[in-house]
Amino acid sequence: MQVRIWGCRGSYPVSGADFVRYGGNTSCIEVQVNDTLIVLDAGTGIRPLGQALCSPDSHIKTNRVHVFITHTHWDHIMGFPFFQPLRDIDTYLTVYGLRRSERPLEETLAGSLGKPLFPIPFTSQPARTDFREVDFYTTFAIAPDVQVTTARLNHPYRAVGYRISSPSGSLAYVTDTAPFDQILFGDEQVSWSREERTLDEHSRETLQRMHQGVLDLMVGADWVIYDTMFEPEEYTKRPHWGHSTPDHAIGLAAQAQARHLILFHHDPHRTDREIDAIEGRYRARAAEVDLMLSAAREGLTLTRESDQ
Amino acid sequence: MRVRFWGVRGSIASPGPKTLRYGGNTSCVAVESDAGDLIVLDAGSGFCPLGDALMKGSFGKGQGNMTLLLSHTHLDHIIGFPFAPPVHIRGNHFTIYGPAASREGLEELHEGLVAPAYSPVYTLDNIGSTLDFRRIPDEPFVAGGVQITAQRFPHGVGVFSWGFKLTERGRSLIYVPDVEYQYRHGVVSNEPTESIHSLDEAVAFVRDADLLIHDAYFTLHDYVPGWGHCRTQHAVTLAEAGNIKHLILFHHAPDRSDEEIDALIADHRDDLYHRGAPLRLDAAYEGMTIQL
Ligand SMILES: [Zn+2]
Ligand SMILES: [Zn+2]
Ligand SMILES: [Zn+2]
Repeated sequence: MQVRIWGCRGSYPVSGADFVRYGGNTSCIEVQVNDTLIVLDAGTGIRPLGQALCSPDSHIKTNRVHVFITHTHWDHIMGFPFFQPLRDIDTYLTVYGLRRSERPLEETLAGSLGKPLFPIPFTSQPARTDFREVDFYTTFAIAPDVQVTTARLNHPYRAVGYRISSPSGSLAYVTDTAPFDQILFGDEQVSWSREERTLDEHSRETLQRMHQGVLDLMVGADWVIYDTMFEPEEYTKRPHWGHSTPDHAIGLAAQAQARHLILFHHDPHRTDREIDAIEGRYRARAAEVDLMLSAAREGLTLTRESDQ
Repeated sequence: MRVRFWGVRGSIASPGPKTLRYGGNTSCVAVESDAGDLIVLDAGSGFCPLGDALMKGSFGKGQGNMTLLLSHTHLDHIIGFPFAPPVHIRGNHFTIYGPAASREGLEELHEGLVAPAYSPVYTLDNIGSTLDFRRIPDEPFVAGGVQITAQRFPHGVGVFSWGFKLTERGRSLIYVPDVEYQYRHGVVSNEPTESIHSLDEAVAFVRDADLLIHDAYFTLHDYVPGWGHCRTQHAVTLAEAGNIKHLILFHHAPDRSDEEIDALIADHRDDLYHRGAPLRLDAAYEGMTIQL
């Protein structure tokens, strides 16, 4: 298994001298397991990935692509129409995302990426695309040597966390999510006021189930890529935004005995120097619990061999 | 008027080392009038850093006022809006002119932009500021001390993008971010009387302006017909025919690298120089500021 980061910014893309080393593109990760090509999220980072795949010296020779969408917030889908393999009639794409009773995944994507917001609907591109809706807490195989497990994340309108498992490595992709203690996010909007909220029994159970599900994705994983948009003091001000801190991620990764935690979904205002500082500070903390830690940056490539 | 560029890309943001000097954010240009009014042309991803900057002034106190002119509603011209902090501050006021059959249509489109499937904002009702949506009027209108004239331009099959002319105290700028000129009348338009078609027809709209900010998505070599964008040479031809003083090439293709834009500008300047043409020509970059 080889994992490569193409976009690690949260909320919206950013450009400029402050964002050169970690990069300004929004969520997109490439996972390669032998001949199986998996793409996690379709933020603006999927555009350079598509170009790399279509270049004559592409590192991978397959036209079969599995795209897993965590949720359809703009920063996770806005690059999709610019994914160059869509313009190749030989591409066969399967898009995975949450099954929702009110609207098919295909419609949600088509509605956002067609007219009047985008000139050419991405579903009318030459590539063959089918949609596979998934539920939380299931496991299925997409190739003889590649299994995918899903879990529910604690984010407005709900999001899906994924684990990709193969004999050559395992990856947990957990973004976007809040921690599993204070607020339960569902499809309805959580009040934005600051009043103290008490959770009812059912909400507490749902959160516990989510917490366990996310631990299951992460257990013994080679790599955990986790939403760490906030620093602790920012989280205290915006618990209702549906994002976590490195402290939350380290706690879970250590408990799950994962090997290497990747801080992901950087706040759009976070400069290269600030991320350097965060990485340095938390790397020391993670070392205490025997966990490797890195901040995600565009171009970061992970294999078991390269990261021992 | 004082013009500042916050996003100069077309289609999609393309951050990275290759686009560092000109910038990777999508369309957003802020115009501060001599009278102190703020008019913003398009709300692509460049609208986010503009919003951050505005928070230091009256928008941070909930006393800001902006007129936002939307050329059209492709994502690279509207995606920044829901993310910009001033939009979420009670007391700020946004008058948003955009293309739609009705003001309700424009509001509905923005409602879709922040719907729960796509945004944690859920609904425009959660946006603290006042949003006053308006259909772009057919007649010239006034915002602050600035006279605004709008004109439809062809932008690919069956699609229009508006161009705007802003005039204050005898100075004028034209903004035409997305256009593919047609060579035969009526080829793409359903409403032939309402849109400009050819470059010749555009000359009357831009004539004698001090500044022309124009679509520069394609060059001679990479032009794809039907994609809704013209070649840079069209911008130069239009600027010269319209007696423009200063042409700014804008809405660069996402993959146009800093070096390629440098080379493109050098080629056009060479050509102008050899022909003895008086036109001043630059490429827009993030942070570029022009006083008119
Ligand atoms: Zn996100
Ligand atoms: Zn999200
Ligand atoms: Zn555009």
